[in-house]
Amino acid sequence: MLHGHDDNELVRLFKSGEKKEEAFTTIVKRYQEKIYWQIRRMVVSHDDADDVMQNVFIKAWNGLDGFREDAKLFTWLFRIATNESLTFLEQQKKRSSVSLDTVHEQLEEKLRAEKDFDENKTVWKLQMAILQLPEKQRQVFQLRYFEEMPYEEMSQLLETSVGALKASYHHAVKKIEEYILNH
Amino acid sequence: MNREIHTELKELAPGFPQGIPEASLGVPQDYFRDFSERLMSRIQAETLENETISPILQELKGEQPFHVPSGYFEGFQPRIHSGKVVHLPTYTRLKMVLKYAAAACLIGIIITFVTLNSNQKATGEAESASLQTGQEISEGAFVEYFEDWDQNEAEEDEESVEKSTNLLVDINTLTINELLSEMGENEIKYYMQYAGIDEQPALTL
Repeated sequence: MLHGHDDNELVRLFKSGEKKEEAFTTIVKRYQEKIYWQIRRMVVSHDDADDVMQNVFIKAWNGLDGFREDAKLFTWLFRIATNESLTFLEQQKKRSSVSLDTVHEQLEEKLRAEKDFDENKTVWKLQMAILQLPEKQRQVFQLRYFEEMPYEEMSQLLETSVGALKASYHHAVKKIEEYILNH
Repeated sequence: MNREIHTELKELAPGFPQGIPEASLGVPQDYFRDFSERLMSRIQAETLENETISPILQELKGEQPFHVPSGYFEGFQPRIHSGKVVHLPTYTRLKMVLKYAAAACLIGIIITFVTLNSNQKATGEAESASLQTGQEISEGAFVEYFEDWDQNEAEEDEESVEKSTNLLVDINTLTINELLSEMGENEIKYYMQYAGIDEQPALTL
């Protein structure tokens, strides 16, 4: 394994064709958990998250030759993951010919189907509250609250200004607080 | 939780329950350990499938046959900023010319209208001004003006009478004889009877 190599070295090895698979496997192992949770929080169910994550890394395998090394590898993977998750939710909406509200209801159902789900516990109330948020606010809240990501890093990741991110986080926190206090 | 994020949350929403962990969403055991292997198996299977279906297409994959001038992408941004002169097609130019011509015509019409309007106004003002000044003309001048006018009228009347007399004379002398000579005696008698002129002496010219 090439664990000692940084991202740029791994990308170079991949592009050169030398140890291509080994370099890619190292990249996957390095970022799979972060990418997985980003996807899982958006699509809720594990099976859906697994499908989306495989698509993300297959796209990365096909596109890594064109990856420009002045960008951060994780940022690139994160964007692919976000786009794939949104595409997945959009496809679900089209497939079932339902509104986005109904997709949220479906996500709630998936959350209720979780093994340890208990709607009286604050930890699950928080998850339910997060599902009520618009996509963008959901992302910002999860990255800030769970990942503890600085706004500057988030700004690069989501291509949004720090001010707009702070505003999104503020709205999200207020909505979640209200939901938890009323349920 | 990070102290900065904790403080921020407390300021934003004092009632927000503190330190809630993320719900333990279930993940199958060894999922992350096996994921990369499963992924690579799928990638290899897809590559193999493509090679089996069409080895040529698989070989060509990723090859770019189109030529891009060297340094194109580096120079792309500055070229946008420096701008490029775009020549408009003739039709577009003609359209522009017509547009300006129409605008000029419209302005011309407006100017003409305004000018005529102001002239009429000026004439009206001049008339009213002359009427106003008329009040200041002396009575003697009016009398003199009307005497002159009467004299002129009388001269004109005399002139027109003279002209009409001349016309009558001309007709009598030149044409009546001819007309009568062309008519028969019976016709003349019949006309005289019809006109109520009986036993009148014969016309002597």
